[in-house]
Amino acid sequence: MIVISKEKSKKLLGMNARNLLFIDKSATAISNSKIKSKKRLKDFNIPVSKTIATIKNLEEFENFDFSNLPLSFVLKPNKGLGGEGIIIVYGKKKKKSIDEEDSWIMPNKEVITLTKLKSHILDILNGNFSINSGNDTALFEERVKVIPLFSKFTKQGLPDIRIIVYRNIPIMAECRIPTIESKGKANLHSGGVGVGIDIANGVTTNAILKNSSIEIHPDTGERLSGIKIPYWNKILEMSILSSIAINAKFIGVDIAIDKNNGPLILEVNARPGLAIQIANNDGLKERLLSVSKIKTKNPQSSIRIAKEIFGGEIEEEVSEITGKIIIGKKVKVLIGSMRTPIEAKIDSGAYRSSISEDIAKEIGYNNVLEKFNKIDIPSNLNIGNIKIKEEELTKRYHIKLKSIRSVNGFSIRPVITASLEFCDTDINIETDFTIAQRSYMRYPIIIGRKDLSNFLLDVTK
Amino acid sequence: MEQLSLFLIQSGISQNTLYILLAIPVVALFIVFIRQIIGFETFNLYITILSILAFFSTGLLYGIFFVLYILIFEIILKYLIKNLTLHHTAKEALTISFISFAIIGALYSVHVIFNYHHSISIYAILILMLLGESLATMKIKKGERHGNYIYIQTIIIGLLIYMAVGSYDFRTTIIKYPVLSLIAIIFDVYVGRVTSLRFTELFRFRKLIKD
Repeated sequence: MIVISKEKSKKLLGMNARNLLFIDKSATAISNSKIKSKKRLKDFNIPVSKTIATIKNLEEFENFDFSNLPLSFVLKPNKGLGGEGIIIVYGKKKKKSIDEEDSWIMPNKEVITLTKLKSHILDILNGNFSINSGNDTALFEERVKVIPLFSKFTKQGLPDIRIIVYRNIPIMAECRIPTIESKGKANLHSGGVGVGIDIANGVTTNAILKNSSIEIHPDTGERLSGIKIPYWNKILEMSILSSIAINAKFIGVDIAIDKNNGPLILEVNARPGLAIQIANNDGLKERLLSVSKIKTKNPQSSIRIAKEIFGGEIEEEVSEITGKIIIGKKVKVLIGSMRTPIEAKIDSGAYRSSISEDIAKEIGYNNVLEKFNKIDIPSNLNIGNIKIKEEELTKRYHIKLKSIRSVNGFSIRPVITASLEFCDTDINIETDFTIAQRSYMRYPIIIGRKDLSNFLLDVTK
Repeated sequence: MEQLSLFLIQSGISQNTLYILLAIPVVALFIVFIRQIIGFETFNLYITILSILAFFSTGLLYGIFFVLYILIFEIILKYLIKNLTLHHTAKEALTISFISFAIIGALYSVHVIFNYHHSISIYAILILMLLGESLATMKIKKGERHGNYIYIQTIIIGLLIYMAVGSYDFRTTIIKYPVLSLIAIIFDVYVGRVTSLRFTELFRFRKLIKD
């Protein structure tokens, strides 16, 4: 027996509420036709999957030159619904004799002959797959090449990213991955896998297959959570621009990532499915209502709002609000010409960052050390004379020096200027490092507070 | 109220016709309720109502018999003609022709083997064939499994409504109180504005709403 939480069920969007409160009828007219919506998106300079050819009627069908079709393509009904009627071909099959008719390879290594392809096109023209059963147009599109990140998850078909956009704000996102059972289709009701995505950082959360939770892809056994979707900000921006282009209040935008051309819009859907809620383990209705009064100025502010409101992890929210990144006590960095990252200790007690002599040598400052070792540093340094000595020595030896006060007393050490890159972030700064004496250092690199202005320190990390 | 029904019957409308026409708004409300509040999927309203009317002619048992017969026959037939390279309409024509022949066989067995003596109206049979056609269309639009699923649901719901509406009590009530049909319309508007989760959705989203 399921005990239902009223609070929780209020968050969910059901068919009734979707159909009555959210579906935008004016957007439906455009989004029902792939050709119309692609044209509209193109007018707004949004990248879309490339159309190779269209067949609008029997006359065009009779005159169509099938020998001009590329080796791989996707055939779609213009007004198709839920991925039905789509044929994907990966390549042309080699002919065994000259008389043999053209045929192409489909997912599951099935073969489709020219005769069957033509018969399928006639079915499309007849409107068999279309939303309203009138006549339809057949659409040939270039096949999107799957990026390596995705191809390790699925043996066939094209994974895509569905983003629900409401009032030009991305509300919820999901990655849809085809399976053998779904025959290369990404649609969840065909048997595709749905994986929730944290809007804040584009990282996948939990996955579902036919409404029940799964951990790994059924065909490949790859873990589905924790994948970082590439081009995430770009994808969010494209979804917002699409919603603006279609002039839709409520819309699902399907985006694929092409190996060569990056993200592009596959199609827009005015009646997006509701399983995305299960994949994200969260209700849509609450999210939709929470932005129902927000007006956004531009895509950038929409992205910021979406990340702030719907970002899964508090950490990300803090980063967005303060503009700072949270780091722990240790962080991986690259200094100067270093190739492999090294773990550095964060020391908010120190003002300047410092590196060990070994690191200094490694990144090519051997000469500085040699020069420094020739200097006779006075031993009677104290608070009264250290600044004067520092200046005096700097002038005399033409070497950058800094006075240092530590638990071990006062000292003067050489300083170098090099780039400091914090791995896993975009932060790359030019800063000064003192070269510390080896005996003082438990960590070869210490990052001082001068270089931590972009961060918030979480001592529990 | 009864006077209205009596007046209409005396003016020449058959009692059965009046009963069916008055029952349609109530049946429609049932279907709206089942789709919007409970959340079962059915074929469109007209086909579902027609299938209920067909059961009036065939009776419950033979109704089920014909429905399953057509379903199985349709599945086999589809499998057989799947690989024929023909235009869609031609394939449809083949399907409907074979179903016609099959129904002749079915009627023969019903009358001769099962010794059933009531005549089954041709309209009922045509409606059931239409149901088979809707099934084929639904399968193309929503996929094989989903199509069968909706067909079975339509039939089960149709049968349940038939059992409720076909009962003697309901029949006399609706003739006695034709105003019930008008009240049904008011409820249509009410149910039509509901935005809450459907019962089936409570099951579908059970993981998200567990307390």
